[in-house]
Amino acid sequence: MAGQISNFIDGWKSMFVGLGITIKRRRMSKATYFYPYEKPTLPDRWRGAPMLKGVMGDGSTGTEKFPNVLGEFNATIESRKKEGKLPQCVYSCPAHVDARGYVELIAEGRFKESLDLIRERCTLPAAIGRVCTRPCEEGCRRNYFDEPISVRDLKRFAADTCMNMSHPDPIPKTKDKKIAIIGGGPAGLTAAQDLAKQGYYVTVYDKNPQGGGTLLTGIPKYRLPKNVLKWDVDAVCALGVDLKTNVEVGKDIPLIKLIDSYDAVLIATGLPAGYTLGIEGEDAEGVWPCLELLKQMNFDNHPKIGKKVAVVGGGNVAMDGARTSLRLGAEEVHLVYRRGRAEMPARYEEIHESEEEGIIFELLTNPTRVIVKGGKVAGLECVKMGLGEPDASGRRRPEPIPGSEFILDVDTVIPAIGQKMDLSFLEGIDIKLSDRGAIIYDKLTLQTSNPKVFTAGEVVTGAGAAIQAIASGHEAAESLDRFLRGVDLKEGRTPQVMPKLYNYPRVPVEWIEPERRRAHMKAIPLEKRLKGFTEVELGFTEEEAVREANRCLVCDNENCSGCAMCARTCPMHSIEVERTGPQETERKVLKYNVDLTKCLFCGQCAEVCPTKALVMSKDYENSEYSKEKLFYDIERVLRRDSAKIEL
Amino acid sequence: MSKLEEQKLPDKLPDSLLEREFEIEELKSRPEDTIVSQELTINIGPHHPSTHGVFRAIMDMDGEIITRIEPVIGHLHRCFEKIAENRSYAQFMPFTDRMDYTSAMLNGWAYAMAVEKLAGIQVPERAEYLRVIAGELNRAISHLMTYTFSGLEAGAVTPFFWWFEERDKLLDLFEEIAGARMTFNYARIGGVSGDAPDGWFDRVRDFIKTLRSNLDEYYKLLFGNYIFKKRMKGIGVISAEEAIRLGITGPCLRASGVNYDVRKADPYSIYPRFDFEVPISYKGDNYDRMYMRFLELQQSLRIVEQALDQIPDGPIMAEGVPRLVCPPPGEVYAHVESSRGALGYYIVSDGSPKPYRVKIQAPSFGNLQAFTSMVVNNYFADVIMIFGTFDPCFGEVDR
Amino acid sequence: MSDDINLDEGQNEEMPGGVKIIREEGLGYTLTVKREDLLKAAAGLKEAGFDLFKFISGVDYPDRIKLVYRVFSTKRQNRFGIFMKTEVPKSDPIIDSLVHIWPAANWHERETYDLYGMEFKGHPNLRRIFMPDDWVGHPLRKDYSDDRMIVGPFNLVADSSKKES
Repeated sequence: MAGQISNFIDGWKSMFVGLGITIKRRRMSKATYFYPYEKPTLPDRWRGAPMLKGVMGDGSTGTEKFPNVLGEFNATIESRKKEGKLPQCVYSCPAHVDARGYVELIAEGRFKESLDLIRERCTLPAAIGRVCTRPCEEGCRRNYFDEPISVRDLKRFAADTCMNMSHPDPIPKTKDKKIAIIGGGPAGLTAAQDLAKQGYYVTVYDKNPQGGGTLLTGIPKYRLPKNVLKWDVDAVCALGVDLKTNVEVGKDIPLIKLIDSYDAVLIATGLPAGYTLGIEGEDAEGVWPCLELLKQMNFDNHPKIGKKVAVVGGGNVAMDGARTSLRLGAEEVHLVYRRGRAEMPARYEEIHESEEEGIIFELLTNPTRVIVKGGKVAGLECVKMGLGEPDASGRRRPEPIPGSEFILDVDTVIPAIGQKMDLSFLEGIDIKLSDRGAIIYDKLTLQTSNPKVFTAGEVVTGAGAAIQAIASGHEAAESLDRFLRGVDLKEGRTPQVMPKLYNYPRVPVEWIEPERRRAHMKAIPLEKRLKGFTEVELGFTEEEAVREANRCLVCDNENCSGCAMCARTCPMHSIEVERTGPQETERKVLKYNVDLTKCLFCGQCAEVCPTKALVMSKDYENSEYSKEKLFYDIERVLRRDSAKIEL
Repeated sequence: MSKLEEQKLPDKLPDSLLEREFEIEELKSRPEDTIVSQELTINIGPHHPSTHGVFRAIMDMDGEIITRIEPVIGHLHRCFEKIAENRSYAQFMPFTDRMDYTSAMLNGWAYAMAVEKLAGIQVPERAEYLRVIAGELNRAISHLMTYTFSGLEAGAVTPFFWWFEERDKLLDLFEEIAGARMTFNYARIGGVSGDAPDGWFDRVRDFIKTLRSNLDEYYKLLFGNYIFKKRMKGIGVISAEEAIRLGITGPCLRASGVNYDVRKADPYSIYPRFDFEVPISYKGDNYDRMYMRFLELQQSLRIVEQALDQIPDGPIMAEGVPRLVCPPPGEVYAHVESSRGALGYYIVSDGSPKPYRVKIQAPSFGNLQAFTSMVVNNYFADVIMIFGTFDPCFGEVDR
Repeated sequence: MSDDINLDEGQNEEMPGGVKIIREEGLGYTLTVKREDLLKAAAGLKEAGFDLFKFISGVDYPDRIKLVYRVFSTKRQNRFGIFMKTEVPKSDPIIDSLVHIWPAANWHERETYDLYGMEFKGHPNLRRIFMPDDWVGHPLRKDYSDDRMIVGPFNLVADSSKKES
């Protein structure tokens, strides 16, 4: 009975509570809308059917090129980056050479135009095409899919193909100002080219018999033949630059005379000297500083080195020294480096080729003493190192392991541990130097304490790649141009856009289809390499180059290039793409089908598209595809045909 | 000619009909108050509004009581495990959403966790927090859906229409961050696919505030209702040993008194940083299984609030994840607590970009097996309610 | 038969048949047994407190089928699951059923029978569960192919089904 009463009360209580809630709800405002008449705004990420914004080959004019317009180039690059229209290869290059543009021109068969486009921002294409550290390939978006485009080798191909053509015509001098450039290396020649194009009188002073700077003296002939470099420098001089060789400023002409007689002076002397090891016995006979060795070799004075050589250092210069010694007749070459393999700053392929040629790597070793007998080198005492905590540059600091000394049996020691500048010509000049002896300059305008004197290149930025010196030379040219016109140096000037280094992992090569792999650069066989100083890498043929250039995905220009990366990412295999092959000069996308009956609308294809042409259209119903926008007919979809489109 | 026209009444009655005649004669001779009943075989077909999906059950019923049940599943079998052997790891991600489609964020999370463990990829912090926020919100909403459906099966139609507005608001929020309302495809191997747009976190906080203010109403209207309580309490009791013996996981196991939650037993991702409880009850009947979900919803909201306070800035995708992930040869197993139980992925790789075997351990599969073992000797109406509390999602059961 | 398995870090315990429980990367604790010892090992695990059965997975290799069982424990202080692995040659795919030890293995064994063709001796109701009852062939085997299977237009270079692990 008590149970029945409590049930009765419970029942009525529930009913009244429910009634109260109903009344409360009736008084609340309704939060609905009438679909589809009052559709709310769709969020940005709403997916729909995929849609192409544009297609290559339907009458479009090709990608946007970035020529070097003095004063506006940096602003253009920055604005394109903000809009998302700057490809990653251009962004990764310190000089922002238009890699996408010239690769596209090579793919279309227009080699001379491609070389002209390269020469806008990269002054010495044939040389850079052989020695560059190629950050563009590290930033190439194709790294994410399989292997990057060989941008550097295509630059070399463009330069080699046009080597028989005539040089450009000289540019008439329209302005009345004269500029002196000290140092004929990459930075100096770049500034000279830019200023000569504006119509100034430019004179370049260089102390070597040829132009080129460190490219001439520091890079051996098997990597960069000297006639190739001469062709490059002649092309710059043909524009109207006066190159005075064998003139050392400070000895032959005092600097003060240049500052007085010219309207502006640019110091771009680079880093000609090398650091000394600072160990006992370094002044013995048989210790060759590496840069000196390479310079002698490049001027054909075959230096006499012994049979067993130890090269100290781990950078590109040390690799060059080691391989040069092999070719000069050494039997055993040891490379002594104080850190480990992963911390070596040299390029990957240099290390690989050095190993192939048989150089013995003594890693985690540091020399302590040169053993001298009768004034000549008889051995090198070294100690093993262990890696400790990382230092300021991020690399782990080596510490000697006590008691692990040993002696390397060598008769030549070649130190190559760093480069430093030679500013002896600045004695007595009123230009402020820092405590360490470096020139104090303004980072934006590259001007020193003397308003008529500017600096550029490695002498101020420190050791780096040649392409960084070229970028510095462009900045200096803009500064000089503004100075000589009387315009303020800083106003309205966009600073140089810093490149970004991308971090792509390597895709294992065995999972890539053979026809999608990168072109393999042929090299002369190993036995023939050590017999002389002929160039090791042979270059592309025309067919290989066009095929390689066709692999480019033509990023960020909103026109589908038929790369079919979307088809490889689709979980349901619902996309079919076809385009013209590499042997046809007119590049077109022949077929692009999306089978809407299989598509899951997952959006992975649009995420992966490198050109940003494939987007999700935020439209599930009434999707239409037409030639401009790739429309589907809904009735065709319902009839379960795949929507085909004739292009 | 149709078959009906061919039939004619035979001249002589066949033997079975004769037997029937004999039975009826015999029945007539018995006293009047004996009732002879016959078992009826009923088929609850794959298309049925109460079966939460495509589920076919052939039942032998003695009046209203079920004496034997034979389930037939496999109507939604798409063989994802075979599909996975022909796709690369990143290509398989959209398929994981289609299994447990009511709480899809958690499936993608489990798969991504398994592949990351195998390939040795480290997920950045912000991505982990976004995964937790999305996953816990999804769990809350899935539980909301479950008990509204259960009310619908009991006859309470109103909660379904009122409370689905909250689910709709949350699906709008997910639309802003992931791009779709049901098949999110949000998790990626190495992180998540998109960062939260501006103001999204504030909108999530508003949503949680409105949901919490309605919790009182949920209790009063459904869980405190006399009829609902009468229909659910004391029915479908499973003891703790029985539950473990039958292989149940998830809220159903916790309602029977076994304290097993993957988030506490084998913590994964960043769960150790959050302060939450796991509700347990000891009676193991229908009402408790439903009430567990209500309490878990509140705990999920608590976790989301803590995560919103703690979320750091940073990247949302790990650096250095290639498009063709080639993990080294080996095996891995990773599990998460989804809204229905412990969801696990067992992946075998042989060093190629395609997996060699992907086995998906779905909680609803084990729960459904348990359901069919303990449903005998219940009234049919109660069986439908028990089915609702076990909450199978047939995308998972059939894969 | 050891009743109380103490599975702390780095300790290996003896099980019937002389097999040890080892800790594997990525999987946790595993126990590899031969086909004949499966029932004894399973009974031993059940006595040691592993009572919640999770799943059975089959992995198809060219000449054998590997079975992986996963069992969980809700009673132990440091709770974990354990994997049990056996191998069955393809010419003779019969193995003992574990339904009498863990009743939750019922539908999992039916699924393995359906998709791989493994027969479980002693199973009360060994029928197909996902496929229709009159289907021919076992879908998850590597040599099963059908007209309805879609393989993409861009195949990767090496076919993983031909590799042996």
